[in-house]
Amino acid sequence: MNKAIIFIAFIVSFSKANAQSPALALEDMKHYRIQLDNRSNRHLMGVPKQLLDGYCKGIYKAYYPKAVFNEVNFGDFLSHFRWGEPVLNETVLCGDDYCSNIAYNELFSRFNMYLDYYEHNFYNNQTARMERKVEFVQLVYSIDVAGKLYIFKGPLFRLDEIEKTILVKNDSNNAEPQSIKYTFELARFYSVEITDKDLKTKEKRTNQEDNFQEH
Amino acid sequence: MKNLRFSITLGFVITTIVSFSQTVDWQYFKMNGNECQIFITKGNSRIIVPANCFWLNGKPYQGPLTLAFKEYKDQADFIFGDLTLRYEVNGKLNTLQSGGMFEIDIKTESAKTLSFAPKKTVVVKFAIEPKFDVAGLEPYYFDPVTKNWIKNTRFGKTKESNQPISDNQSDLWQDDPLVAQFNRDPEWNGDNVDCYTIQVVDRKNPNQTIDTLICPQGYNPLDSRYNSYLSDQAFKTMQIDKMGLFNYDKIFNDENNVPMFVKLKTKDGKPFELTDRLYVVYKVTNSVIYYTKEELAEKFSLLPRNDIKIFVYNADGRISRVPDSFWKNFDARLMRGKTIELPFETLKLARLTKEEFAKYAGL
Repeated sequence: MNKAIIFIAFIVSFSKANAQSPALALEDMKHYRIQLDNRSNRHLMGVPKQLLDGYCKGIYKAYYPKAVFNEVNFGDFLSHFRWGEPVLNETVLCGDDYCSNIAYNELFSRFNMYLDYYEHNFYNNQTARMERKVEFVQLVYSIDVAGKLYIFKGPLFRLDEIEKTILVKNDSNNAEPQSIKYTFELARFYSVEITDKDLKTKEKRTNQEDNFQEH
Repeated sequence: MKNLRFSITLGFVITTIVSFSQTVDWQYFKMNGNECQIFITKGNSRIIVPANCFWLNGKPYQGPLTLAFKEYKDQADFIFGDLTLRYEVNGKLNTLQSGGMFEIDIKTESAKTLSFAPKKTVVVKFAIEPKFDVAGLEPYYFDPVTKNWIKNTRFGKTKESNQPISDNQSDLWQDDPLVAQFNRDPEWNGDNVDCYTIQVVDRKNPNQTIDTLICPQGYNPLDSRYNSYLSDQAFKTMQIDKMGLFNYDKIFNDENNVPMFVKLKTKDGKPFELTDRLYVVYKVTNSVIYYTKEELAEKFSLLPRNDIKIFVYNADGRISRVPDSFWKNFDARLMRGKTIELPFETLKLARLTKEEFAKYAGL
């Protein structure tokens, strides 16, 4: 009888420790920006293009920054950034090549300067350590107008949806491409935190978390 | 003689029902299975079919096929198509607000049903009516077995994903390039507008495209020629891997609904017998709410809005509607828990087109 109680207690405590944390809002996570043309970040240069191609083809789903459980239709993404589908009197590529239409080139290239990501810092009861988990990667639109750079944050992509197929390659060596998940787990890049700490709810952000090491 | 009279009467009834049963037409597109095709529909939607997309009896099919497609763009199409916008999820009955629906069916020339090849999808870029283009529309599929809509997203069954969200793009994004203020390029003086020509589907003859001259106005460095076209026509994209009925939808926000009791009467004060569904439509929202006779007694409610249209559409061609004049001094907020008496005026049309129906129903 006692063994059964101990076993049940163990199962309950194990499942609690491994239970997924409640859904966090974006403002409750740390927000970082990677400048892609930085010497330390060039291996990530191809990520926005891979994301946009996959998004256009329906392989990846994008989410609204203020409604992270709702998908952004590709058409809404285009119209948000004042773009549209290829016009019909141009050469329009068919099938899987549709997303390679030149109509998209200029728009897609405007996401090449930055890549943002959001990570959730939490205390792991099992390891008794603060841990970090990257939840979202975010495209960032940038445009230079009359010498001034304008930046607009774009759609979110969930790391667990892209981690197996978005590959990161270091052009400076012949190493095999790595998954984006591995790159983010090891924080193999230079980034700066840009989250406004005042936006985060006090009860979810602790001093310990604020002191957590930045990358 | 009696039999003859019966036959004539029956024939008349059937003819009448058939002639008034308006439906949305199928459009047909032909191709071979080993080809890649982009089809433009009458409604200006684009259907992108990759090569080698279909299977027949578990094997790749490369022969001739016919793609049948129906577009449902607005409330009149939904009513004529007998389509429901009720959506039950997590024990709650919601109403959907649509950006438009389409139905697709692909068969061989000998009418054998094809299936999708693994990892192949047909992309439908649905040309949405600009007045119904709102933020947050997501893909739904109509389950023909359960007769319920299913949200076709990863979080489609969760509580978080099934909350009403704003119609405004700017409420869902952190930054809004549409409202950004830019420093004007000092070299741009407002002249030299770059005009160009694009082809759009001719609304009078959907089988043809016509040239349209676009001359961008104003100044915004984000603008592109594609955006200028967009202002005339926006698309919603969906990848599909099965046949059936699909919808670009979101949950209609009815949290301000005011529950009330309702009595129906004719214009001259006699009781009005409800023989079919009673439709409630808010003109600027692409949704259709309906009540059966039983539901009307139990759960009638209205939103406090000034674009309410209420009508009954009978299969024999009669339309009964609450006249617009009734709504001029009506305030739903004052009717909570009270009884509203709706007066109906009836029109009998010899033949009902979609345009006539929409006009009379006030859509």
